[in-house]
Amino acid sequence: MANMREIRARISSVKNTQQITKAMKMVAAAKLRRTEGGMAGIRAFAQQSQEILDELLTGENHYSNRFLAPRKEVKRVCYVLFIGSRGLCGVYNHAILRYAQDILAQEKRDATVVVCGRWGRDVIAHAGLPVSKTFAELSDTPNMDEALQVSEYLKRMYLSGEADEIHLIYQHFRSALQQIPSTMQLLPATPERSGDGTANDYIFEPDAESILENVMQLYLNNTVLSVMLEAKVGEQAARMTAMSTATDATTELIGELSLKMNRARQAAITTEIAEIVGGANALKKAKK
Amino acid sequence: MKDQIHLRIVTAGGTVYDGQCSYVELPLEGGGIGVLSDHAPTIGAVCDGVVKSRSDAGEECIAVGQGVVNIAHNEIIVLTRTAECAENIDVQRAADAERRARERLTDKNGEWDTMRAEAALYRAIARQNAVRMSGRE
Repeated sequence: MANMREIRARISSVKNTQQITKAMKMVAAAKLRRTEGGMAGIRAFAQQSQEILDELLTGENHYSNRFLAPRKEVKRVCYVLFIGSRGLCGVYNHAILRYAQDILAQEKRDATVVVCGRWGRDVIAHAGLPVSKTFAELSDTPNMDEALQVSEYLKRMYLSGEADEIHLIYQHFRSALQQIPSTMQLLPATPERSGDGTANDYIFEPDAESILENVMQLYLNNTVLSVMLEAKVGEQAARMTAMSTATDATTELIGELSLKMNRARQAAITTEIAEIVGGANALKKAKK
Repeated sequence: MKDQIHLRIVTAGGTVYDGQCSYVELPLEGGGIGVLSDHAPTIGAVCDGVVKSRSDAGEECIAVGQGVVNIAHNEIIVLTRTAECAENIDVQRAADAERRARERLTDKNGEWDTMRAEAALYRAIARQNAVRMSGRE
């Protein structure tokens, strides 16, 4: 049986670990709540821009835009991989990386990858993805400035012809316990159309084309930000779950170790008593 | 005049301005327009500039970036990539940004393309104008 001091040291080290995992769980929960708040704001914005987009795209109005028209020949494709900024969040990063690898393995056209996130630069390099650019300095609560950096880069890439199609790969946030790796086409844009044209007979100022251009700019920035937020919420949720499981595991481990420790102490006491009794008996015999 | 127009300025980060007013000036790509109550339904392309709203309480200036505006039934909703109320603008930072943008425009060999530098320049000028027009210097 392991000696008592060793077990005591293990218990205290496990307790330390437990404190860390508990703290990390709480931090992740706080960040999750903050990022979710950002998502609520963006939803209101998306709804408003959708209304204007509907007005421009439904009915007899068919306005074309450089971000909407699909290219005749798609030679080069760009995938934007949204990965976590840190580890310790279960299978979150690995799952999305494996998903991206599968997609790229099936891709027959020229493909490049833009990575958003700090996690595992070496792992990604090792995975054989053709990474052309990494946005590593994204914070835990993405804001518009960061989204603009990425979306402006992607827009330039598309307009300059470096990519004929741009897809986003990210973990779709279904619930705190479930995130699903998914893809979404960013460019050429395929905005949803709700279909019900409004009754307002709008005047377009100065003309529909320039309005559509501006709406598309907003739409693209908005899409990038919302995907960024969604990926981040997923990461925090995954981390929260992972840390919660880890805390539970440490509690169990501490229980087991305390049991072992008590047994060892009991054994030590028993041995001591046996020794004392043995010694006393020996003395008695010697006196006789 | 009664404050009948409901003006909202919204960015993806949240609502920057929400209030009643009687008159609104908007910077559109074809030139600025003024909106009084019962304006015809209009959708407009907003460019970098200053939105001015007049109400009983006084005037407010808000610097906005590229975006769109939806005017219908005395509701004005401005959707834009950035918006800042005049009192929150750091004049020094805007002036610095203007200087940097101008340097980039004159420096032809730099990696900065003209379009980006121009966009930055317009933004910086719009922000400074917002401060100037609000009378806070």
